Amino acid sequence: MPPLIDEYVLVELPDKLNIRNISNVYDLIYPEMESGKSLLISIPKGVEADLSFIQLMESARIRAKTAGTHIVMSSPAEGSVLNVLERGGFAQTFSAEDKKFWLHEEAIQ
Amino acid sequence: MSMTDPIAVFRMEAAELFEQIESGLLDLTHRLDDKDQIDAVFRGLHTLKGSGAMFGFDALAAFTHHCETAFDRVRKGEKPATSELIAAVLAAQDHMRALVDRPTDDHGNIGDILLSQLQRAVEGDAPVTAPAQTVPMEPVVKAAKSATNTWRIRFSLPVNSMVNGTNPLGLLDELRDLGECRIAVNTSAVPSLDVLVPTDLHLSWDVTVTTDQPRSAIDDVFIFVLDDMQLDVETLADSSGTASAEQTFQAEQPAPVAQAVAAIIPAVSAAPVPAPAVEREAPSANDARQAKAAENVRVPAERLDELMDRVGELVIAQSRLRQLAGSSMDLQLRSVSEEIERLSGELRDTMMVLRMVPVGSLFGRFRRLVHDLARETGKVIELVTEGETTEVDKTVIERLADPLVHLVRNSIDHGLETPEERRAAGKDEAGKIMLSARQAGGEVIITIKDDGRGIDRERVRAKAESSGLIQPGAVLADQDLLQLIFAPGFSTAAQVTNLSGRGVGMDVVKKTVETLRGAIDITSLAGQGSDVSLRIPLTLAIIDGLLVRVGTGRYVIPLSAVEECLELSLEEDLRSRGRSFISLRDSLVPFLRLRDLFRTGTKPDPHQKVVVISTGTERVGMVVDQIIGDHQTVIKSMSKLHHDVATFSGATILGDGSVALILDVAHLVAAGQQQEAQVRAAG
Repeated sequence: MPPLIDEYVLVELPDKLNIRNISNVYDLIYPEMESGKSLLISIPKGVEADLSFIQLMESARIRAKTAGTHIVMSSPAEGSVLNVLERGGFAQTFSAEDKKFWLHEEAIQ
Repeated sequence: MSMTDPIAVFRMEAAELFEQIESGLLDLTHRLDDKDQIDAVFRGLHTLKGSGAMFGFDALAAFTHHCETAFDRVRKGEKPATSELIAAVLAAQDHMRALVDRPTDDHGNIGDILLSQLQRAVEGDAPVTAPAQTVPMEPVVKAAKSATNTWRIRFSLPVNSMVNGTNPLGLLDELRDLGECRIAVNTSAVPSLDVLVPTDLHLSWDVTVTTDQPRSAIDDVFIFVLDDMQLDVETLADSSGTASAEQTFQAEQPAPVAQAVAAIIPAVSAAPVPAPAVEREAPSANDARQAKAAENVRVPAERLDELMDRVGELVIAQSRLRQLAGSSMDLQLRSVSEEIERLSGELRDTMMVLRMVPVGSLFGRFRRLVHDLARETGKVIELVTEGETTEVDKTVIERLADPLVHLVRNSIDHGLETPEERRAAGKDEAGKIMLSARQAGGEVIITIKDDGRGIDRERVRAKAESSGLIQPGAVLADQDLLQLIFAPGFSTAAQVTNLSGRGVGMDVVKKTVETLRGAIDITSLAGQGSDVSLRIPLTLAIIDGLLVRVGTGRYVIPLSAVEECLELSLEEDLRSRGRSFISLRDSLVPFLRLRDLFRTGTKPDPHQKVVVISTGTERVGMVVDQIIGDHQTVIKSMSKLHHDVATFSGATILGDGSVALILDVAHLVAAGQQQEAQVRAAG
């Protein structure tokens, strides 16, 4: 069972989610994740994102699965995050789980 | 976690790109139609622009864009490569360096001035000094559009590509521009967060593109990253519906995203398509380069210095252990001590090799200097380098750069004649500057040779006399006269130019070489040129030394300078009083009594030894009381208080914790030779 929303730790990301700042983003997420908490990732509007951020989130999802925790985004991907997902070939091959994570789209049963 | 600063990484990469661009430009000056060099320069500029933009060096990216555009026109055969264009891009490159080093500084309107120069060079408005050098480019034949093909392109980039400024999204966008495109990313290699290095790239792509563009258009997309990446391109179907295999650049391939591919090519999948037999290429030069690069590790220089310090301390500790073991009867302790001595010796040798860098890295810098000076002075100069693979300690290389610049400038400015003068003297119009390096024992000898007019000894003497450096009419050996050019404030240049003639520089050269425990030899023949040789020890950190005792003090003589050791019998000692020469195989060698020189106030040992040392052709003997033996000497610099004591080049710590001074061989040999000259002068 996924945890209740108030059991998540909110991680507020900076507005630079690119290779220049990705190490700082990593340092925000990694310690929280290693403490065994589930994470609610908040991405501000108008962020500057690139592939390094998408890869970081994919990596965090892998870690969450192994650790038995959860990671979710506070809002569906938009702006430059969505743009990178589309340009990078992620969106075209999304699984149902990917769509749920990135786009908050639930598969219709 | 420990992460490399991306900006620092970019600056390092930019430095390499600058070298690559500069080297390409300088090669082009000799072969203006060299397509490979034109491509290499263009690639360098393009990568610099892309990486600059990626890392926030926007001014650099914008400025470089103009140079890249200019070279793109050359690459496409729209404009010829000219020496003016090369000079303009070289000048622009200096500005790019400034934009990398000081991106936030106000650089005024330098950029605009350089760009207008570049514009003039491209459009051919600049005065053409050597029309023959302008070689029109072969027009690039535009490939005709081919029939529609569907290509499957699988690629992965090196893990450090993002941090090095490559943006995979840009490559994907370019593929999209080719035609109908389906892109699937492969995330299977992305590691878990606990082992992820966030700046590394673990994604790969499987792209299917249907296009009427030829295969070369796909290669063009990857042109700037092709050397390092894994790329696999197959034709899935051409317009006739035939599937065929194309070319591949890799041995292993990313996991396919079959569904994505199948969705885009229904017509092909419906037909019975033979499985594409992907042809594997034999390992290319690129593969070999890649494999070689993977074998190398980039290590910050300061870490090597730290390691060297540790090795130095280990050598000192080992020396203490040896002393303790030597005075002990414990055979096991002696055995362990010998083993540690062997291991620390091997570790020291390995460490020395790690610090060695080929002198070619230093010589490379002079191509640009000579190019610029040739333009500035109007002289035709040919730079020849030899022995680039000779290796020297990295600290020596760093500290030699400036002295060599002074010497090369001096040779060009004072030594080489103008083309007219050379023709009149029956010489080839192009003056030759030769930079060479070779190893001789524990020294490396770097020589700067020119075939110019040679040093005017009369002018040197007149100048030295007028500036009070020597007494009028003083008798000087030829070498001593020539060495006057290294005296502070000395200059024979009638005219002060930007290059030289201010009397600063040559004395700095000498001082720098001396602080490196080196020496300068100079020879010159009127009308034939000059030859300045810098003799520098291979390393500045640890040397093999000969430990000797003089009175109660112990001293180290660099073993590389020791030729032989002799016993000075009491009889010979008495006989040589007042003249200080020994006869060595029919030649007289001057010697110095270190006991007298150091004023030890002790009585001579009954079995004194003469250690004969040499620097090149000069020899001198040094009388010591006892030769203790060889000693691995970790060189510690002298304090500022002892900076002026020329007899010693440093100090070392012995096994018992006491300090031994290291003798400055060059200084002592000079003192011995001076003594010989005085004796000869006195008749």
